[in-house]
Amino acid sequence: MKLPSSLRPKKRYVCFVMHCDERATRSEVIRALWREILNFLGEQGTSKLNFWLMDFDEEQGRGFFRVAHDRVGELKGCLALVSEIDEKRVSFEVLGVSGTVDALKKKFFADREVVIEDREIELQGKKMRAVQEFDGCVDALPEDRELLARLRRERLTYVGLMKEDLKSP
Amino acid sequence: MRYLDLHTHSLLSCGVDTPLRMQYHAKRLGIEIGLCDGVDAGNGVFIKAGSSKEFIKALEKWRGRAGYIIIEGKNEKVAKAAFTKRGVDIVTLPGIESGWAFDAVAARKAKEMNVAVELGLDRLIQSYRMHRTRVIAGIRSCLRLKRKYGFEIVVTTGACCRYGLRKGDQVFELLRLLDFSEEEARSAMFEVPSTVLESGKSQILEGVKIKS
Repeated sequence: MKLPSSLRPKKRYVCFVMHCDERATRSEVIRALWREILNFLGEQGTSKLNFWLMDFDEEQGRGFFRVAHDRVGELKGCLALVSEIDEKRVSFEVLGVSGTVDALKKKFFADREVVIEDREIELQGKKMRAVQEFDGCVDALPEDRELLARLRRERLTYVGLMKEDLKSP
Repeated sequence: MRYLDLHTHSLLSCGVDTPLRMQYHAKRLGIEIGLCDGVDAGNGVFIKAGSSKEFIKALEKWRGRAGYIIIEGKNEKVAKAAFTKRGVDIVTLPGIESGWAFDAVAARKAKEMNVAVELGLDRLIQSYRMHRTRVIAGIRSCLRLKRKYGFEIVVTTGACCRYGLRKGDQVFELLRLLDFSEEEARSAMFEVPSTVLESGKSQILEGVKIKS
């Protein structure tokens, strides 16, 4: 039964972007977030959040949550605690908060251009394979064993560089 | 919310991304970072020593060269030596696996020698369930000691890759959930780290303080 509008809880919509080397599905994100929030706040604390993942674009890694208007800070704090989803290293960045879905989508759901490439590059004498490029950033797959070990330790797929790193001697 | 994260690593030490890429991500998140690669003056250095001798050797090597010095507080003897030596800026809070706890004696020494204590959020982020509850209990205990003895706390992420960095307002909200007051959170996130960075820049020569 719907509550009368004066008794309905006030909501806010929190837009986020999930940074990850590989894509995660909507169900993986939901599972990871609920687990993290329940573990940190407990069942009683989570119930006060009135939290729900409303939309998630798997291509862009962008989405938004619904949360109680006075619990936005707690949600932001919990998002800072999420570091992996199914053994893939991730981080969640809160882009902004809005009272309506339309305003949120207009402001935060702009497309990001990613160029997929496959070329050999060299950084500090180490050979790598550049895999994708966006906003002046280059993601590369190294061949060096030490770098591969570091990637495994951090549960990452790519080494992160900038275009300027490739220009400098 | 302004945030200066003094403990991050790039490819030049034990990280995965280049310094430029780490700076790009930090700028995107609206935060500032200090890289602990120990490569040149102005950057910080993270010293992980197995014994007091090793620690003293490393400190003598880097004192006056590095912008700021962070000592790993895992080993009790090294941590206690760090609180007695000039030139140490920050000591990390020992973890529950280290076998010793940051106590009132260490707190008093930290205040006396003006050494800040580092709360590494990476330990909190990467722990789970029971381990995490003990980490949180350790953080709260450190906060109680800070309120009583007045030493400074610095909050860092220990990020070794672009995904280890965190936005300022998310760190602020996390600290509020850990019972930091607004003032304490702001001080640990930006004011104290800025002071550490500035005092390092002005003390480039051994024993000589340059007035900027």
